[in-house]
Amino acid sequence: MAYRDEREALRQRAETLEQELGEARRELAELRAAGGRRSEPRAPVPAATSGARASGPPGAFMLLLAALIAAGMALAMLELVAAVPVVMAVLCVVVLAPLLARLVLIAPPHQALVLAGRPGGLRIVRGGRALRLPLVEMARSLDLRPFVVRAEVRNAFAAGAVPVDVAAEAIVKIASDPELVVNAAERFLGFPQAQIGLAAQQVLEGAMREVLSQLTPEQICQDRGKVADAVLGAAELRKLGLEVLGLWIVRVENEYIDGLGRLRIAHALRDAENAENAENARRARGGASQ
Amino acid sequence: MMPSPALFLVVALALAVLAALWLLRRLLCVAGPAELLVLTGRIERRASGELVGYRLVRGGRALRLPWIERVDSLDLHPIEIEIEERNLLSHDFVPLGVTLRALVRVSPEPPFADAAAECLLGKIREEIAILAERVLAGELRHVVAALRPEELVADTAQVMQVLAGRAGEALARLGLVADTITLKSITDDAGYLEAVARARGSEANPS
Repeated sequence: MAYRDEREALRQRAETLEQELGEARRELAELRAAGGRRSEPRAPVPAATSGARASGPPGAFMLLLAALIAAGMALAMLELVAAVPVVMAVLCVVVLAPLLARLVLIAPPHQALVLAGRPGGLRIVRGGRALRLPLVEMARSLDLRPFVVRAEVRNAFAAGAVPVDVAAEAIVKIASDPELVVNAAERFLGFPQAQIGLAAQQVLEGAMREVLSQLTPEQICQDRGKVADAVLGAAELRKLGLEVLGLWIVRVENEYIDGLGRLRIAHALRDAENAENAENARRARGGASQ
Repeated sequence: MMPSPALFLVVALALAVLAALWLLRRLLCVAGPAELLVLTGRIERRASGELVGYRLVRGGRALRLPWIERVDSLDLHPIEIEIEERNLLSHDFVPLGVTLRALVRVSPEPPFADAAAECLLGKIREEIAILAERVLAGELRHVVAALRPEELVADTAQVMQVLAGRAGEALARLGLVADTITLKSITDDAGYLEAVARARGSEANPS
């Protein structure tokens, strides 16, 4: 079965799941009754802590329908012919509203709804609602939530042709600006997040190689904020409709840097030994003179 | 005997009242003290003049419009995060280990809450914790890389303040706020700080 959009698919899925849940509950009740155990109090309906709450009020809807039918009967018996069209009109609204509601699409703030099919190009809705034209318009959504991307370059050449291994971590999301969402929609609509991450990773790795070639290994290691800014400047992620919320250089590996560190530690140890030896010598001298 | 029209009217009225109550139960959304509700679908003009298609409700209640408004919620409870980073290269390339502990939560304050709604809606606590962890670990690496080991241990309060400021900026972009960031320990596996202390100690006690 082909679905017009994700929402329909989701609604279908929710319906089947609800059916299954109902069946499971019934089965559970039967089992409990058959088992002769003390029937436990009905589990409370879990309060929605996250995610969408119930989408419509079907119970209220049925009650309202019944009320209207009863009102209609009463009016018919009272022979208030003038009031019948009013009741009919209300009935029509009540029956048609849920059908119309299927065309109302809601994009919560973390999603961008992309509607295609109207003249004038794509429509982008974020944090709001849109009316989908039946038949002619299709709607899909893009997840705008951020995810972590790791970019790693091995044997990139820093200034002076010194090879370095550098790893960076970035938090990337699809940009919320509608113009950029169009860029992302053209490339990533319907793709899993991993694939978007891969595209971002490749762009970042390219930018890192470019930037690293202009810096010495010491600069890369010490002034990481500057490196990160330069990488962000060089990475053309906006073209892909992506936005970086943060980028950090997490690892810089290079024999020369390691050597500098070891040298520093060795010097510190040597200085400590020298100072201690000097002190011991002073003490020995002091003891001898007394 | 034919039922009277009055009976039908009473039944209709009773059913209508029941329907109204049911509707109210389904449509009334109450936000607890540690919850931020996001109701999407009604387009409103904010005080700043921009049109926004969602509203944020904190510690209060709101009536959801049936069919055209949906409700999501964000958990405002703080999330505890512990970061243990080994092999942080300091300014003179001496490796150090730092353990940090932080309490991070979704910010309910207006400019950040919008970012939270965009970035974190529907994410579970663990996912949020991972994002916050990556931010803190990244900023920690950047801060430590710019400092010599002696400077790091000499003025820890200052360092933590710098870290909190920079991490706060990055977290705000995700709609998060750090209630506390504390330094748990600094380890010196290479023995550099110990050596420096020994040298100082000997020079300071010429006896």
